Amino acid sequence: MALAITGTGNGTIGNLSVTTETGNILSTESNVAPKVPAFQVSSTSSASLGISVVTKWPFNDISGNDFDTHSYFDTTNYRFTPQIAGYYWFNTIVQTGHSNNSASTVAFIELWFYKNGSAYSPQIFFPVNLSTHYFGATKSELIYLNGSTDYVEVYMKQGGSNRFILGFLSQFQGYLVRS
Amino acid sequence: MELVDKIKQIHSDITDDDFDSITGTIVLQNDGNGDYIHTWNHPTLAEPTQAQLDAIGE
Repeated sequence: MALAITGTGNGTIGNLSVTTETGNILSTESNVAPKVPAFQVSSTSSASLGISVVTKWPFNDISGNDFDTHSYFDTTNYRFTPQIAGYYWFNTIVQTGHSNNSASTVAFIELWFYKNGSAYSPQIFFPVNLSTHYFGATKSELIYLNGSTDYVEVYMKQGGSNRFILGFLSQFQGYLVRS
Repeated sequence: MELVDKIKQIHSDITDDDFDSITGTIVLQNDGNGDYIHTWNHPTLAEPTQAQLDAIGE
């Protein structure tokens, strides 16, 4: 929608014109929500997490409470590739467990957002006590994406232990904050 | 057998510290199609070949 405000100078009466398209003009009191891309995806299956391996998290499911407003999430390659440029807020919650109930070794897991195949920023470390059997980690980040080729993925690593860890019931969310 | 264990079997001097994300020199990765050696910057030991890794078996 093209919106033009014209005038002849300070103190004169100007003109407001709206051309080309029709739509709603939003006031500061408007309750019309912006139609920005937003998604929430999950991983439903138990995925093996190799020891000391930086592993892309298999977010492969959009069902139940999940959504993908613009169909920008690829559940085959587990990546979000929006076609609208801007700053996107991302959050992920990964939940893991292990198959050794008697384990008591303290270990840690690391979590990254990857942009275009590389770590976007340093990972966050989560110390875990394996005797608790289940544990989780979360990370949030604001990332600019160009609206065509840029994509974001979630990677995770188990470190400092020889325990076998599985991942399940994890979520990955994001939405456009501003252009 | 885990990839990390195969590497340790080929190079007995390799330890968990070599895979540390901050101080280590080796990065293993999985992009959805299996574990592989993404980065090998060990100062003295050579990166194992795929044939060496395959020879160890599962």
